[in-house]
Amino acid sequence: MNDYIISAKNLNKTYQIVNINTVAINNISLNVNKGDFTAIMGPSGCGKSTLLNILGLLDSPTKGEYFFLGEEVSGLKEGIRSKIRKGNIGFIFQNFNLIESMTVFENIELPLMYLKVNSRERKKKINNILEYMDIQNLLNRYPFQLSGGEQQRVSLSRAIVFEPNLILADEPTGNLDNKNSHKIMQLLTQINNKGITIVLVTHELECSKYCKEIINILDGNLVQ
Amino acid sequence: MLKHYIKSIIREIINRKFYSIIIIIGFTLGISLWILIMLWIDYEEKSFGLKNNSLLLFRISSLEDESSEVWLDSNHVYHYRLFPETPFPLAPILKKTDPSIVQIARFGYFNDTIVSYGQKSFTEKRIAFADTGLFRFFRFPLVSGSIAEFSKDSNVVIINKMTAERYFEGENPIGKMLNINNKYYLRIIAVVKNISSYNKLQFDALAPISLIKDSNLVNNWAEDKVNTYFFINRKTDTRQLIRNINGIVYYYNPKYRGTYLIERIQRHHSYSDIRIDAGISGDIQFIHIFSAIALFIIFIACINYFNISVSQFANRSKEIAIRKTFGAGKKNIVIQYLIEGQILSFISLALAIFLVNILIPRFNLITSADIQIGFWKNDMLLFKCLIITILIGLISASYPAFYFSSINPARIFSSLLKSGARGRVFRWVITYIQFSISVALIVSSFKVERQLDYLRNTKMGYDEDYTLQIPFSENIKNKFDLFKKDLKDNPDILDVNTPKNNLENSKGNETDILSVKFFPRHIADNIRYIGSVWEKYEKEIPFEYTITDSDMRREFRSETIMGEIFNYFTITSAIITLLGFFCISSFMCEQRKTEIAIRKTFGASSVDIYFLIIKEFLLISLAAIVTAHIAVTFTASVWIQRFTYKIGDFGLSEYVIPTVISILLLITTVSYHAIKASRQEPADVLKRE
Repeated sequence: MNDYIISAKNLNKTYQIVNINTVAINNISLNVNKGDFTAIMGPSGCGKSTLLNILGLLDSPTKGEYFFLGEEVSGLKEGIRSKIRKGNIGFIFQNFNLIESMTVFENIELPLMYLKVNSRERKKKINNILEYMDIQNLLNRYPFQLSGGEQQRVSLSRAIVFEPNLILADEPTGNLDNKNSHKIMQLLTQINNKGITIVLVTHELECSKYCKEIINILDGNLVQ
Repeated sequence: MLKHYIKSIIREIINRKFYSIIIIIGFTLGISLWILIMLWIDYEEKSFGLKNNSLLLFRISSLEDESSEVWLDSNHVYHYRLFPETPFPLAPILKKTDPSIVQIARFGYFNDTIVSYGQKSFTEKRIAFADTGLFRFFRFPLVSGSIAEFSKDSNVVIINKMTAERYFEGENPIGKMLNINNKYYLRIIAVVKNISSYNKLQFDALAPISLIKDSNLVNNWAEDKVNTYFFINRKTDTRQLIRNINGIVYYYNPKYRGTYLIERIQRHHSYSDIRIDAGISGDIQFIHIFSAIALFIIFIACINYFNISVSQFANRSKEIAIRKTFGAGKKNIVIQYLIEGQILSFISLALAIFLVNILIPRFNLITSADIQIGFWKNDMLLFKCLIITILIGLISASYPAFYFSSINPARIFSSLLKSGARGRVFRWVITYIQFSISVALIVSSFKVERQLDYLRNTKMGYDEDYTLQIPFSENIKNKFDLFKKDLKDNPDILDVNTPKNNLENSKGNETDILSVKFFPRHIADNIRYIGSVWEKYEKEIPFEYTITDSDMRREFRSETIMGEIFNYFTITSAIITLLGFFCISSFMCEQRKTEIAIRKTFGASSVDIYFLIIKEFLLISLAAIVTAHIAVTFTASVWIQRFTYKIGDFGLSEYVIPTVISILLLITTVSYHAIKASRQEPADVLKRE
């Protein structure tokens, strides 16, 4: 179990909306090794984003066990989950989720701020990332001044700037054209090659080709 | 991190400038009113002139045996008037015979006094005398000189700055001699600051009591001539003290039928039933009422803040979710919001200080106070302002802070939590409370105005003309027809009455008084004109007058102040509330734009949409109006009991007019966004969605 960054057993998530229980995920068990590049695939509404939120400690399962870096985290309160998330997990979203009122630099700086990295170190790390992503020229721009591909690269920069153990990507190419999708997947592959574990949610077969392992979900259930 | 918070917040404030301005306007107005009330309290405290150690200061007052001065109100509560005067010789005997008296001092006035210096001569009404002990009880800030000789030499006098300017016009008055009634020649030893109209001890000049040798006064037990103030021991049996006082007076004057009581002198001159007094009769109740209203207005502004913040859920929840995803804890979000509240409230404090500086002259005019513009140099006051500012920031930001910090980012990203859906009921409840307070103030201002109108017109029975009362002199009597004709040449002079229309003075003595009635315009010019005619016919006696109108108004001065300030407070609260409604209606229309577009697609007209939006506000406002009327009717029925002369019942107009005004204001405010929403093209909205 110690080699797994993620180890989930019989995870369930049920939402209750006006006395009606909707099962989002049902008895899902999975393990992800450190350094893996795993794709979770399935059609829209199958529960893959819900699973990703649980794996990323943004949400808690209704039932089941979840070990992150060897620690049982399924029943933890939001405050403790937030502390574990901080510094360990980077996120990438389909709609980029950049803060509109912040510049590119400030958006990338955000996780470092919460990690209390000092100003000089922050600047250095951000400059390295900007260079790596080839977006130095976007430094002082605001998200609305960027193209989709540029926004996703900024989003990716923000996810990796603090060198997390795990990156969770929710449909990272969903809002991008083929060219930009390809570029983002290449960047993710490069990041994975540096040893960072990536779990990616997608319904695009093309994306899954970059991954080392694929998990399929249908109607909240794992499909072997 | 703090720098990051501040930068983000300032950007947020600028990005949402319209809403930020509305929040700041509300806070600024609320803090401004709070500062003005604090200044007023501070001014009253200082003007009253009590020294800090005067915790056990009392004075003796008499309850005269006159039934007209005691009355029973409809709640069977007795009201009475006290005269704060005692016989001249009481104080030294009381000090000698009662060990509970630590220090005692008398204060009184000479009768009409002619004061001269060189060629200048004026009839003065406020030439006073006092025991030295008075300086132990009250503070009279010195401009120049020293009061040390006051206790050693009988032939000295202290004057105020105004008197110094009148007699000496820029010369140093210290050491100069003032002639009093051609009887005393008093050396000026000190000049004190002008005495505020709020101070109970009003004098233009103050001489030592040892100056008075007249046995008609010194041994007079039959008449109450002086105020007697004293300190007592902490363990004094005050009932026994009152018995001693009355025992002494009855011993020396067996015919006396009144009763002497003692009253504690407190910081605010608000002796609920005493109106026979020097200076303006303030009322601590009013200050309490206005402090409470100022707090209510601040509360209304706070409601605006959290209504606006929470209504912006759609815009801000995503940012919070992102922050939380990337490591921000609940604490970080709470801190961010609390700092935002503080930044907004401190910006408002700065603006409020600026605004108060502008408002002070007007406020002084209304309250007859003399509050200085550099008030913020007062450390204690500034400290109070800082506290209220911090509290405003904390209270208003706390709900949004905890509301937003509890956001689950996963739900925001998965759009399970729709904008503003949470806390909708709570939002309407606080909006209802907010509107209730504002309507209550509108309704109250109508009721207060009605009662004041009644006092001004019905009870007093005087019209709006001013009447100048002038002591009638022999020279004028002899040339009265000419004097009257000259006065009548001025079209503003309405009537000149001969002395047969004399008024009685407060002690029941007849005095020869000439009444000149004039139209209330160009008041200073008219008085100057009357003075010039007086000087034409009377060369010996200086022109002296009192204005009847202001004398009559004095009794109702505090009520008049209250009415005027109340109106300003009401207007302020209405402005803040309506700004809040303006914002809420904007958010509401934004939230419901898809619904509106769908309704229009399926046949709803613009009018249908307009009423759809207005309906929700109207329901809330009607509930608030009913609540306000019930609360105010109850409160007004209690308040009105304080008046001897009160209106019977409030008329229908006191209910209908404020209701109509409130609804009209609300509809006007909300209509802007309602009309805008009702005219939107459904295709545009649905395409965007």
